[in-house]
Amino acid sequence: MLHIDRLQLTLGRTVILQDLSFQVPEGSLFVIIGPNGSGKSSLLRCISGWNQPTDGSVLLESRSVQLLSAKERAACLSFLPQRPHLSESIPILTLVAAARYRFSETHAKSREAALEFLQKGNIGHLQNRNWHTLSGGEAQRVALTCMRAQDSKIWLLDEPANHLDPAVQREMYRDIITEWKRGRTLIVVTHNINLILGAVPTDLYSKVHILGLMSGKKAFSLCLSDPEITDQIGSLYQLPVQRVSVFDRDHLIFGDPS
Amino acid sequence: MKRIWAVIIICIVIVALAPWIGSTARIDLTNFIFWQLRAPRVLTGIAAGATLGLTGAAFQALFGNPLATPSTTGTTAGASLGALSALLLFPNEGWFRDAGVPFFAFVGAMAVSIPITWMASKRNIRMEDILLAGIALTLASGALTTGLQFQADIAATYRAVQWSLGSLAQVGYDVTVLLVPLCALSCVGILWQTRALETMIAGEEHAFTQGVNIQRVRTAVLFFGGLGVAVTVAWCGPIAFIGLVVPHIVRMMFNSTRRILFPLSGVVGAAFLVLCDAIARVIFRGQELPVGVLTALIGAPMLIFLVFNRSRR
Repeated sequence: MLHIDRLQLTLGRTVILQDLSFQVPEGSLFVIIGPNGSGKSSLLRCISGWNQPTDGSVLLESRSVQLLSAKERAACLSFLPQRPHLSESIPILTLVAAARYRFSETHAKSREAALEFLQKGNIGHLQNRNWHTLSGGEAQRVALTCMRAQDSKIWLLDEPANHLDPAVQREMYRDIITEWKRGRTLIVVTHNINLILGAVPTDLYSKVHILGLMSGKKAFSLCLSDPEITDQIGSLYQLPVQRVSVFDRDHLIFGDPS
Repeated sequence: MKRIWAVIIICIVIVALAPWIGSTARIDLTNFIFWQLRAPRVLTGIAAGATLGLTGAAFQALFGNPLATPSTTGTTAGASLGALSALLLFPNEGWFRDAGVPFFAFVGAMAVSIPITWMASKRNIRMEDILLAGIALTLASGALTTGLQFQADIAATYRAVQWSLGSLAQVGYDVTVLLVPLCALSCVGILWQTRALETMIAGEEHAFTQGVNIQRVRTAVLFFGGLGVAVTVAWCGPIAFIGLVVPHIVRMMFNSTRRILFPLSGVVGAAFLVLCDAIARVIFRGQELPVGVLTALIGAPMLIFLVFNRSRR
């Protein structure tokens, strides 16, 4: 259970997050949406422990993430950035093996595990390629493999399908949702609610939680199955919105501002 | 793997042949020259070169910046200031000056590198800011050094310039017994962080979420790196270019992990410095070229050649 309690974050003089409280039960799919600058990424960074909250706390099983040791933290939380940036190009196998840092195992063991995860993700053929030679889609699949190799309980995902083509976006979300179905807790930051609507089976909509964020405050907190969600998302982005069904799936279509 | 061993063997051969390079003057002196001049010189070269090569590679990894060098944190500039102060304090030739110059240089280097390490160990300080602080300290020490030189007489200034060119020349093992263990400690301290630094390849935040204790890694690498560089610079003078060029050369030869890059940068750095020193002994008859001049003269074109070669591909 992840418990966010009266979280407050001020960077310099700018208030980023204020008085934010919510809970993420184990095994949930928790989606955070909100306009640019609403504090989504900062919230994710507070949860990961990278940003120190000005006030309030992030509690993991009633212990503050700020007080966990580095390896304890890595066993609970891992983070998938929009696109990892590497300062040097290294072989993929090495990169995935490095994600096993939190385990006290030999380097040979790490490489073995890394190869196994690459093969399970059907990208074993990439093992000797260099990072900078990968396409955007391949890179994100490798990043996802790093998450599996780290094997933490909670995954923090910041726009995991940004800059990807529609086919790879779908594939990415399908993989993520599969992890959720296997019991992993996911906290996903995204603008693209349609990808969630498309990837989650309709009968599981009631299990998906959506948190709307607006200027660092909670705007709404609803289930994906809640009919109210369409209007709430519309008012969050201040755009007219309609829920339509295409290809047997619900989609939110935004109109021009009136 | 084969290529790595080939490079290591070439480096060992260079180091093993180096003591035999140079004039032997009179035959009956050979034994003295070999054991009291050449052998300690080569040992010092191995220790200094390995430390500079490895520290350069580790600092480039820590700062995530290919331009980082062992001098980036201001260590070398602090050492120069210390050395010049000693030359002014002890104007007369003698034991005081012989021991005082390296000692003051070491103190100057540590006086810069300890505050930098302390700053980096704090939370909420970005590595870019440490880089800026290092540059600021370098410029400040440089200004003080220039100011002191302006005050000093010609003899002291000349000696300071001579010191700043770097040299491995020495008689006996006094320096070697001090340099080798401290450099070894510095290298081991850095190599101990290899795994954490490998994780840092995608940035500090990424490494943090993978379970790396960022503060500890920064402190360890900057402290052990600073210590090794301080010892090296104090007793051999600032030897340019090895810390910058060697890691790049190794990286371009073996596009590979930091597990290989770090130790190999040490090995190649050692062989490179020993080789340059041997060439410096023989290139001009009767007069030795400062080794710092040679490392830069050989290193710079080598780096440019490799970079262009890579861009063309």
